Amino acid sequence: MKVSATTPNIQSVSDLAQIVEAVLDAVGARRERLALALPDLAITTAVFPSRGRAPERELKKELASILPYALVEARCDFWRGRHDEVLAAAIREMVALQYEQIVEAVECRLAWVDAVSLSRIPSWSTRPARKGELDVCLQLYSGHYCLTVFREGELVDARTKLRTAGDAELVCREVLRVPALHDSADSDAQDSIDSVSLFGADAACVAAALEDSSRVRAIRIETDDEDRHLESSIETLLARGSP
Amino acid sequence: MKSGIYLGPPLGGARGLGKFLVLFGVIGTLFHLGIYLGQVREFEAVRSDVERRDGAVANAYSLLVEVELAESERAVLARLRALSESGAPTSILMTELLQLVANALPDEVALVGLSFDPSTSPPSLLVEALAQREQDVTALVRRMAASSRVAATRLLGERSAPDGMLSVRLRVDLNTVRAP
Repeated sequence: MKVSATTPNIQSVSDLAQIVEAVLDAVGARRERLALALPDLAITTAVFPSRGRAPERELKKELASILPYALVEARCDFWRGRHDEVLAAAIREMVALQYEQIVEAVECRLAWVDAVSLSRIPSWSTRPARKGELDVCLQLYSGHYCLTVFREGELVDARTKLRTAGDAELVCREVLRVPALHDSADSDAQDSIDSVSLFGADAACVAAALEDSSRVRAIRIETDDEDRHLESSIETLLARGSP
Repeated sequence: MKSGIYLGPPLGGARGLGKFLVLFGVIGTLFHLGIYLGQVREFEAVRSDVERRDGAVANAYSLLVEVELAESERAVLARLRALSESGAPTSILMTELLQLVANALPDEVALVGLSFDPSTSPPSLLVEALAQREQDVTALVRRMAASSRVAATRLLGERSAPDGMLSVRLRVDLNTVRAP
């Protein structure tokens, strides 16, 4: 497998289908519906502020400007937040079809289909927030990380970046840029972040680096294990039921 | 509220067909109803026209002149209002906005696009730029945010191009009343 947003991800769909089949047999899973958590690097995301009431046609036009392929080749969806913000996500049709072929090959039906790191954003957005509060959620994986920023409970940024495993400093530097990029002009607490929640690989290393900077008021490590983190994402998708 | 992003195959093909058939039936009924009402209205119009005969044409003509005058008056008033509001404290001078962008751009950042949207509340600028380093983007955002004309900045996108440059989209919400 080579995860990409533009080119086919799976070298041999039939080989991977056999592996999935074996895993489903091994865990004794019922063959009904499978939730599909797509890899983050196969998805293109964007956050559009104050566009909660915009028609989907307009949002698609905006999304098209950042897609690395034509909009007609994309399968996209929009999630509208409580503060009129819109989270947009797109996957190239040919990439999505490869993953779906595996589900068909193991004789299951598709349930919810979302990206691993995007799946938890809707539940995070329901957390209460104070005026001027700036919160960062960081989902760390060995080869990439996803940074999600909430200002006063409103989703203002969601981005996926590449990294090498163990490089905590690069991630820390990106987190510390957040106040400059997303603090409101009338905020009292310039340059500081109210809370950073860390999930996945190297979370403890990144937390230590952020503590040293003394610009983060609270750091939470909810799990330090990548597998457990993926599990949580899949649990979130399964809890949604039918799309 | 929707549970989240759904990137699976499109849903509800059969339901879509059912909706289409119902819609088709409703449109057909409305079409025939429209034709019927049109014919009734036409009949009524002919009858009243015959009843009024004398003076009907003259009355209609004078009414048309009145409508035209009223419309032209409205246009003049709208133009006068627009002129009088151009110097109001809530107006924004385009030259001032260009100056704001010119002052905020660091040397290492190239401006590739700038658009002004008066329809958002507050009005906003969309700045599209190319930068070499992340620090340059941070500097651009900081300088923008430091202006008294700026209410808030939002980094809408920051993506690495194949040549290593960072492509940036920044929304700048503007204060319509200048801070003292």
